[in-house]
Amino acid sequence: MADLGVMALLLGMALSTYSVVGSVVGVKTGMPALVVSARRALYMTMVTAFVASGALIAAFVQNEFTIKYVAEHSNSVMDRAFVWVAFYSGNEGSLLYIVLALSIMSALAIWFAPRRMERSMPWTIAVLAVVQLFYFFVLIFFASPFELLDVIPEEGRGINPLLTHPGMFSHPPMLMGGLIAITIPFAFASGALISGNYGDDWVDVARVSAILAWGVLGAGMLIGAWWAYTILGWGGYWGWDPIENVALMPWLVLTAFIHSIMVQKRRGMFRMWNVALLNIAFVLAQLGMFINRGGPVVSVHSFASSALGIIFLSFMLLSLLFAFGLFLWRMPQLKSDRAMESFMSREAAFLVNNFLFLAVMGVTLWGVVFPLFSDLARDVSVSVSAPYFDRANGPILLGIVLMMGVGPLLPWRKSSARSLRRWFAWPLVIAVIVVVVLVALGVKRPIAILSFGVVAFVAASIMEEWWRGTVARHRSGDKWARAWWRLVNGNRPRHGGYIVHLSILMLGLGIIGTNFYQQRTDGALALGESLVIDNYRIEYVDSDSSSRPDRIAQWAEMSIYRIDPADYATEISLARAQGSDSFRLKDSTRRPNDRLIDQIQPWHGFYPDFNMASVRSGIRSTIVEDLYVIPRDFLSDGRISIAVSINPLAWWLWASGPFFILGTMVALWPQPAVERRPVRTEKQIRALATGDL
Amino acid sequence: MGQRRSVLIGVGVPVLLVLSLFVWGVAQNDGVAGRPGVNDNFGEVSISTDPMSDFELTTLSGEVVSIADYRGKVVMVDFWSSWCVPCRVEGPILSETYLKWRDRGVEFVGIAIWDSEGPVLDFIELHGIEYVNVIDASGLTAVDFGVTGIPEKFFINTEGEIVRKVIGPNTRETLESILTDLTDDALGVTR
Amino acid sequence: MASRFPFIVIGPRALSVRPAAVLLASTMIAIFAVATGCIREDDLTLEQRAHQLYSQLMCPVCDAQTIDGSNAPIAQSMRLKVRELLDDGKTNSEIKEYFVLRSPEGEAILAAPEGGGFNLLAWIVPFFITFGGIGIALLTIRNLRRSNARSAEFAAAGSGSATDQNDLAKYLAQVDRDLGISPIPAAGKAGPGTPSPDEKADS
Repeated sequence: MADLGVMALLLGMALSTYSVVGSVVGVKTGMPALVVSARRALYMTMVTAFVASGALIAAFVQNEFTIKYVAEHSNSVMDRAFVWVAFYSGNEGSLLYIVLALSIMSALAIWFAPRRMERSMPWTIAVLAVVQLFYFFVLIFFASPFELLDVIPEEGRGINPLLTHPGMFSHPPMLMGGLIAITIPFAFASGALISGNYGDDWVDVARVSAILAWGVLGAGMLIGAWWAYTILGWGGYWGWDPIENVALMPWLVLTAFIHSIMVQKRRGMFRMWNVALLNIAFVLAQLGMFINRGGPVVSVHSFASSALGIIFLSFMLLSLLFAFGLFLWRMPQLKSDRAMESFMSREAAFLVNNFLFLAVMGVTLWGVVFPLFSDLARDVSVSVSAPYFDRANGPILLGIVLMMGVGPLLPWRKSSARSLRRWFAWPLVIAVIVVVVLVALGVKRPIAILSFGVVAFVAASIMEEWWRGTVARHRSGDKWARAWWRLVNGNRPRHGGYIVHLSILMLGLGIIGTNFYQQRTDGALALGESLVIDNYRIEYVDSDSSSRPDRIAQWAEMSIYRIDPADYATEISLARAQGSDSFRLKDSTRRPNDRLIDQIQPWHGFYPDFNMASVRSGIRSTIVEDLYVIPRDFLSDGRISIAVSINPLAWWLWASGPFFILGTMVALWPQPAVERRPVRTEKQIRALATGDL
Repeated sequence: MGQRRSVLIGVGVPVLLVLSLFVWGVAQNDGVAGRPGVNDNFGEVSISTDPMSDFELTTLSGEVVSIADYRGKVVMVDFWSSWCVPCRVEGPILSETYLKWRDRGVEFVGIAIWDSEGPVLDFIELHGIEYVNVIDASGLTAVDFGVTGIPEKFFINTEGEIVRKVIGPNTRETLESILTDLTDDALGVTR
Repeated sequence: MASRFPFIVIGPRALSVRPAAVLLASTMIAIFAVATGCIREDDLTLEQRAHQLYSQLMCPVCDAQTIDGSNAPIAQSMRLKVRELLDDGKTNSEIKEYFVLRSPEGEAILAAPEGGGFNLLAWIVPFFITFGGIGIALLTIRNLRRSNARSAEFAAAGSGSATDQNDLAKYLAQVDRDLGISPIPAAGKAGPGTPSPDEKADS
């Protein structure tokens, strides 16, 4: 298997080299045959990537511990389903996965690329092939997954226990796939620029591929957050860790891009700007790869760390020079067809939102490099972690959410005072009502209330538009549901966007709730004891343990009661006096108003081979709040040490996921039939050219 | 062309700065990923502790000890744990060194952190340790001293000031050289 | 703050440049001001302050984790110490100082850079990035509004010259022959996006 894999990699490298050279030479010397063969070589590269990946997976399945990568990332008792996870769980395998993903996406992209882009395709193919070539090069010379061991071990080391979670089947592949997928729109844009195809031909295909990359990356991050929430047992879901940040940054830039590309599509504006955004996103994706593989920053996600820093840094530098140089070279040709007419127009709002996205990106990047800067400038180490990013990025993110309500309500070109009044009145009224109600209810934290107001404003603006559109269609005879569906169907990019906006609002609710209103406490309970926090009583009922070859697992059975604080008035005032929000009860006898609402089983596993603990928190989730119990440790005296938090609105974080994916799909769903497939027949071309669709 | 230049400068300069930071960072980075909390590399480090730190802890035999009790002696305070592998390796070395130096104005105090009585007593018996040992199960004293892992040692001069700090396991030689330095200082010997 | 935005915009001088710009900027400033003003210590219970501090102190032996999230022994001890110091009536900044003084890594024990001098840079730069970004956006919009006259010329440059199109057609035909597909005429989608039916009715 190892030989097969190495051969496939070598072949892949040769083929991608040929693709690059063939495309460039073919176009320069006017040899279409060469161009065509270069394109076919790129298809073949995908085959070699498949063979290499297949070889590695087969080696995992057959427990070939002669291969170092297999021995280090699996063992014979491992659940076979995790072979897929083991495949990309280490540095080398994940690089192979990236090549596989990129080659598949490249092949699909050039297969489905519209015919009218023929002139720029050779350059697009060359760009794609260069990126593939780089990864093959690294795989062959620096990080081969097929390296053999001199001494064959009896048994492999096994898979990293933290990765044995359903989220791991999709989170890493989506994240890596999404990052590398940015190459596709970048290659289309670069191809168009190099070939001097300055028109908007590349816009559609770049938009679709960018939304795909963006959707996959976004969903990947969300699944990662969910994984962290349920398994890492630190009670959070996003830590602003450098590795997380470098995935977020290109995503933010892509978000800006998929908004401003609509302006180019509709209005023929922002040509230069859109190219710039794609270039930035691509370079940031390469920065992500670099930080991931031995970047000079400390991260909690160290399992994929390696000493490939210099190599990836060099490639990032190369991408930067290429992207920036190309941009500067072609800049004079990238002018808008039309002028901006008004500040109060959707294109203006999109531009402001674009800069806000870039601002979050810039601040995040600044936070990532600041420790290096401090080290260099005054030889003092500092840490830049969540408290910094929350404060520095929070307000800008709120501004973005605000623009999310403002932008879509503004018409293209310019708006009249009448239309503004008409569209903004209701959302504003609703936002004000929400704020007033929250204040009246005695909700604390002014920033959070302001944020809720903004969320309400945006939600109301979306609902308003749906309401008006649906009513109009309903009046013309459709049933309500059908009327709404036809509204959405009529302009999928726009209404898909609204669905995504709604999911972002849900995410926003979760973020505001957990950041501003989270309650936390910790304590140690013996069997039969209870911990009381807020109006919950958590009783430690039972515990059990099991010992497996790879782990020692312990779990607790806990009953959750909803209590009436009046029953516990004395204890509560006593706890308050000591500055505590919670207290321990030795005697767990039920008081009159205690009501059993749930049972949870927090789980704690220790993996001696890895000297690593893994926990599953006990979570009782409702749409109002989560009760979240982390089993920190099972103490030797039989007590369990737990950390408890109440995470308001956390449910909404995960509920946003399906809407995010749904909205992305609606936005992407091909609109007219002609755009769905590559234009192949003369008739279709004519139809397109005459606008006779 | 003016626009080109402004883009070149406006974007190029910050990008160049960030890049050079990364290049510098990669050059600095020796690729060490994580530290598990057990110090297995020996090294003397500069003190990051209040030089007048003290503690009051109860020994296994029930006496209360503090650094102040040892005024006039050179004291080595050792933070260790019975479950820590480098500490186990160090056990016999410390035990023997103490026997050799205790008549020369040197006192050792062992502080077992994140540990419990049973394993600590076993450890003491196994290595024939005769110096005072206390248990700091919560690790609060360790935090006071700025200890981040085990083993970690602090050397205190006859004035009661913390003067040296060593992280990681010692060999007989490293230990003796520090003790020689400190006792020489106490006697006013100059080398 | 947000609520004042439209009323001024809708006033008699509706849609003029300045109110919009000024209001957007002032909204952002207000948000920043409130955000930095944040929560006062005395509103919180000791336990809440303890958890706040846990997430502001790094675990010295972990990679990029605060003591809040870490289960390392030293993180547990540090949490106990924070609670002990709070019970002694220490303020948050005194407690952080306590740890900075003892940390082998110095101020790296703090999860976010604090204090004046060099560390102030960490906090000032985001302001420049944000307001610089908004400023550039607004300036760009203004410039684009002024460039009305020039726009026609660029529209022509946008879709390539006639000879270009001819070369392209020949080349494409050749490629198609090689691929074994029937030749197609050169297809450069003429002009930019057509106005969509979707634009707001009253625009």
